[in-house]
Amino acid sequence: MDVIVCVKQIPDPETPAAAFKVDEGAMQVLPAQGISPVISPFDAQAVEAALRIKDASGDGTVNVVSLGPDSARDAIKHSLAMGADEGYHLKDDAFEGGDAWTTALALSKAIRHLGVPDVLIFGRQAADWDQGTVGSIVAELLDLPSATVLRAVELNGDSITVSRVVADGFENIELPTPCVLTISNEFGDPRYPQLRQIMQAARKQVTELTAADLGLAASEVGAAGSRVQMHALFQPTSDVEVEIIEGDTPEEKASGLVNALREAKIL
Amino acid sequence: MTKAAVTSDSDKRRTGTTSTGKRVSALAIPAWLPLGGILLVSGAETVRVTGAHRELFFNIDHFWVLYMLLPFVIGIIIYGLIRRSRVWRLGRPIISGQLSRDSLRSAFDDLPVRLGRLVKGGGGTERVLRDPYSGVMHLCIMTSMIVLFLVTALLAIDDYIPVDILVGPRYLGYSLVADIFGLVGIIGVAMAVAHRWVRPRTAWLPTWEDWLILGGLGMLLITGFIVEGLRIHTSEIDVHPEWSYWSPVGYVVALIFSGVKVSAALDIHTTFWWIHMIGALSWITLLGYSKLNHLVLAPANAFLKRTSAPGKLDMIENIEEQEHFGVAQLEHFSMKQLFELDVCVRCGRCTDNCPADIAGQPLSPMHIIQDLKSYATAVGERKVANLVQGNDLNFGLDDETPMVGGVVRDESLWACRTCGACVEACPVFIEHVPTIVDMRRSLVMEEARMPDTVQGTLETLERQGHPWRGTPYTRESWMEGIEDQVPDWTGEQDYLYFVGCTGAFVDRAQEITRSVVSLLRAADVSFGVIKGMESCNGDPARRLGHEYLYQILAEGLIELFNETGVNDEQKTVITHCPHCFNTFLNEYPDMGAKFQVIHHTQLLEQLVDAGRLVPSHDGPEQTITYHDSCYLGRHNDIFEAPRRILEQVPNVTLIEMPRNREQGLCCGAGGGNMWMEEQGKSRVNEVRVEEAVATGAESACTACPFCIQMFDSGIGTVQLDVEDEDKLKVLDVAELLQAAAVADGE
Amino acid sequence: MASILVIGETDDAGLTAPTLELLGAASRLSADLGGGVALALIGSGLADAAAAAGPAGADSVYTADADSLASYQTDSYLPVAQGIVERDSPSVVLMSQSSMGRDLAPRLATRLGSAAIMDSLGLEVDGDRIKATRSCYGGNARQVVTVQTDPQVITVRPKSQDPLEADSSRSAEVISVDVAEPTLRARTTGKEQAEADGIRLEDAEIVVSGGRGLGGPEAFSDLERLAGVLTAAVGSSRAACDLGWYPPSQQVGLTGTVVSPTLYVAIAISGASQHMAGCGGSKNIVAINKDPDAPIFSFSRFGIVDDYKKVLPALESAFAEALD
Ligand SMILES: Cc1cc2nc3c(=O)[nH]c(=O)nc-3n(C[C@H](O)[C@H](O)[C@H](O)COP(=O)(O)OP(=O)(O)OC[C@H]3O[C@@H](n4cnc5c(N)ncnc54)[C@H](O)[C@@H]3O)c2cc1C
Ligand code: SF4
Ligand code: SF4
Repeated sequence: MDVIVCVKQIPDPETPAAAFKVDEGAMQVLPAQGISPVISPFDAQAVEAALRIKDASGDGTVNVVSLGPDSARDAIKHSLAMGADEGYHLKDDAFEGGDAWTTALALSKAIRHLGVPDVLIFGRQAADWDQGTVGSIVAELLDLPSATVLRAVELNGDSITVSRVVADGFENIELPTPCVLTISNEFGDPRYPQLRQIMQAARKQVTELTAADLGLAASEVGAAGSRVQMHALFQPTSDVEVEIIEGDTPEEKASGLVNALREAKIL
Repeated sequence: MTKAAVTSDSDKRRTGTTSTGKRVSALAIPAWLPLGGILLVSGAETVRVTGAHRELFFNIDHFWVLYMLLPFVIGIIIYGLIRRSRVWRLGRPIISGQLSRDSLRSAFDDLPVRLGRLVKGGGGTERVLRDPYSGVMHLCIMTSMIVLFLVTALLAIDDYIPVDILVGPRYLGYSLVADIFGLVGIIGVAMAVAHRWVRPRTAWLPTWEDWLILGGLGMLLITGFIVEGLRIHTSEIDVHPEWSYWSPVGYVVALIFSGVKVSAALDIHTTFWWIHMIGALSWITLLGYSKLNHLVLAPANAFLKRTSAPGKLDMIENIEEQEHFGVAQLEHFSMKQLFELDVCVRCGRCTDNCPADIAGQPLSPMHIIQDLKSYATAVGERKVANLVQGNDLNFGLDDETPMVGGVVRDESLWACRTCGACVEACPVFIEHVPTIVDMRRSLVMEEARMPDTVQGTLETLERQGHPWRGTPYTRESWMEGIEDQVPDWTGEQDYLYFVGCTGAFVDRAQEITRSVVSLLRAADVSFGVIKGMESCNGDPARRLGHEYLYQILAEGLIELFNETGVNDEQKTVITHCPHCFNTFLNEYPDMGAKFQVIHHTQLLEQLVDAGRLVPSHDGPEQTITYHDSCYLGRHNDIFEAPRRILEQVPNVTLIEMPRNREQGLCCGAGGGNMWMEEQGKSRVNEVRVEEAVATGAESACTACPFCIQMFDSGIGTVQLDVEDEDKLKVLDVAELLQAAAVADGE
Repeated sequence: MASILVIGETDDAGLTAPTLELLGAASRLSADLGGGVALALIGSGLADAAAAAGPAGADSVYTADADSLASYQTDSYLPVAQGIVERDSPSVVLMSQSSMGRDLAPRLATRLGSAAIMDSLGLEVDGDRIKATRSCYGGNARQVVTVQTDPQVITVRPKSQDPLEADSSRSAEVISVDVAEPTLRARTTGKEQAEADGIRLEDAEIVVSGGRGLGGPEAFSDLERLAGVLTAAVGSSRAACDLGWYPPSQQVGLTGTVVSPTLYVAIAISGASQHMAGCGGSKNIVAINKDPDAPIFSFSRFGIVDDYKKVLPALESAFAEALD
């Protein structure tokens, strides 16, 4: 089975809230001091799923594709260190300022360019923008069946059986190949790369592809091609001070808390 | 970088410290006094007797057979050792971390230290005597064997040289000495036998070796006396009874045999003589095939032991070019490490002192060494055979239990605190910690197999540059509200205060950081802090086995130190974390560090001595017990500085826990266990807290931010039902001193 | 032609609560945007639900009613939804951020030549665009975005919008849509219910945790009941695990599981740093502790200072009532 995984490098989602800062003017998240960007955790799980499919099928390749600035290389290298075979980096100034649509468009072109594999895997969402649409858009652009938010993936002869996380449980779905899957955190922890593989990955060549290589005009991608526009980015003002719910009886306190939670739209 | 001058000078182990070791060796002297007395008196007595002597081969024909056998015996021993050495030589030709061309040199560097250790420790004294019972037992057997060997040799020499030495009074004194030491030997053997029945320990597993060695030795001593008794009975007692009194044990035996006819007694004598002699020669061959080899190997190991600080781990140089990381196979060990396995005498002291074992966790350093030794015997010999036959080293060994994960279980490797209690206790100078960490290195770097919590810690180190996954704080949180009181490092000041990760990211430790700053300000010390830019020095990664990550982090930090002018012989880095201290002091020189290092307790002691910090007399009466951090105490020999600070705070009474200083018990956090979940019967910190509570002290003081957290957490469980105000309080030395020496509001 | 099309969901009781919320939002937005509100229902046996659409705020309702549509499958729902949108040509399509919405919205938007905004918390009209405020960076930030192409497909987080008061005087025109036999590529073969206590700690949206202050193992069954009401997972501090009150697998913290739920309820937990390391990333922490100085309060959004034994029963019924 040949698999392609699409991955993204993002600011570490484990950045403590105290170190998380936004430049509201530039609508950008400021890199936190001393905290390096990481591969989006769902994407690392997607790589894990791909490697398991490859292992189960006994042959084939796992290739990774990432679109992004220079730092995206690290997500590719991390995937290679986990055991992926080849890496492709979609890198072009023209890609900058893009949205899910332009990203998915470029990825779908790249996948066509590399040859549509048996299985295409994504993380359920990139843990920066938390949109969770790129996998589905690529599936649509390539006209492939898809299953999203999966906690288990199994190879079943020529088809793939997956378990999808839904509100009240799990759905079992069977897909033909080629197909598109997106992996959720319930899938379990990705492997920790072995040092030897990290070193080999560091030496491995990553193929860079530009918009032109993919037959895309600059106007189709990046900010120019975007369909979603951002107007503001800010940090929610969380009350640093704790609000102690007062009341004369435990009942009053309890209902006070429930009301407060509802007002804050937490419930 | 050299050890900061203050380190070595102000804290040389003082004489008169009451470590158990010292106490026992002191005890051993009075034990031998009466003996000396007897010798003196008897010396005077013998002057009155003349002409006494003995014939070397009395009643023995064909004694030349013995001389014929001797070369064989020596050959057999040498063959055994050489055979064994082929397994040792499977290891990397490294003695202490340097590559092979330097091996020899590195085995002989610091020669005075090595020789000193060889004489002091290799002679079976110093460390062996720390355990009173087995110390005395060992001393009995050892001195008996040495004396009896000399006695026998002397008799032979006397026989072959033209002048007779052993005649008259000299002979009688000689007889007496031989008899006494024969008896001492029997006492020692009896103690050893009793030890195995009467005082068995969990760690103890007497095997065939023990019975063969002890049984053999006992047999030799007893047959020796029988032979002597028969000789006296048949040739001396009637002629020169007064000579016989100088062989008291032989005399008693002679009396026992007095009913036996002389001709029969002569026959029995011959038989026993041969049994004794052949027995002795056979017994001595055990030297090449059993743990009796420690007679030779232990002194050798005392010599070969690393001379670097015990808390230092050796660097994997050119790590990117290594074929394997850490140790997964016998041949990945160094020769010294394989050699060491054969030195172990299974005394169990390492395990008896191991915090993990004490807390009922799945680690026994003795078993690690012993299991590796059995593996080296079984598999190592086959590897040697493969080499001899020109096969691949691992030919036919695919189905063997893997060494790491099988012979030594993962959970044992993870349970190690790298506290060094085992290394400190081992009478034959085995170094368990590097061996354990080497196997961890393989688990982490080669196989990426580790507990989730370890993986989380390493990932956090990689990504966030500190090990405190999930911390809600930043590197600057501790300064909130006092930013203006914390001077920025400019490169001009004398001292850099390195806050470290724990001091910044753990709320309890932030208080210590603030105390240290307040003390430094109060004493007007010229210091600065690199605000927000510090990163982990790599210690947690290194102890957890991720040498590569350690090197990356260390390189990064040294670069920061270079850029900011810290890496300079004139600059001193203050740490309040003993782990930072140990890494900077002992391990960073390998990475190109030049700066000096001082622990906050050392600096504070100097400041108090110099009168720059004056503890006031108004403080409350309080009793305090001091808990030694392993990386400050055992690994770096700083036992007294913190204690002297406490002693100088008025109204403080210091109470020691039974395990203190070199024998201090780890808090449980070392070796990366701060970030792991313990497995086993109980937690190490709870064991230690119980010891602290048992002293009756109101507070426990320590000088390590890990120990503080372990104590806090342990007290919650140990003193679950105790009212809050009666619970043991836990303080850093700096906090106590701040309360006593810095006016409020400073 | 409506300005806003809501793609709704139904369950045994008719329109789901999120669908009612979407209709509420749609009618408020359409007041500014102009045009009406249409509801699309895809499923089987939709008559009752369709009848409830008018009172809930829809002007018209499209029903695609077929046995083959009994449950959501991408391949069967996608063409039907596409057909309805193309027929109605709304400028906005709203869906709930449900299992269906998160799967369907991006594919549908792409098929329609547009794009989707997911998981909006707030919606506001700006000219002919809908400005959606949504959470990103794991809750650390908010962004305001618009879809520049038409139709603007937006999914909305459940409970973030208020439904309208049902107005039984209103009714909606029901337009029935023909359904072709779907060609299924991905095929749902079965369904598993999550066991009641099967929510993994690290995946739970709500975690209720107990500590040493609970005083004994019995109290954890009270916590489990509360968790049942909230569909939450139950966690515990290490101190409580050490005492054998709760299994170590449920330990939250530095050496346990790291969780970052939307809501973390810490009951009789002091808030030691090693514990906070496992839950400090929670979006909201609520603490119940009898000690007003307990460190946990400095990490909490809301707190109750009282004996948990008194508060817990009251809390359970208050939550049960609120979530009913
Ligand atoms: C290396 C290491 C790792 C650790 N890892 C973890 C970890 O992963 N997870 C973890 O949780 N801890 C961990 N700890 C332990 C941690 O330090 C604390 O000891 C522990 O979290 C305390 O648990 P607690 O809050 O339940 O208990 P306590 O600290 O004893 O707090 C009990 C609280 O309950 C309150 N209380 C008492 N009675 C009542 C009542 N009737 N009503 C309301 N409130 C009441 C008290 O006021 C108090 O605040 C670790 C410690 C170490 C040293
Ligand atoms: S270093 Fe400490 S914990 Fe590790 S084996 Fe030795 S005594 Fe045990
Ligand atoms: S390693 Fe040392 S202390 Fe441990 S059993 Fe062997 S000889 Fe004794």
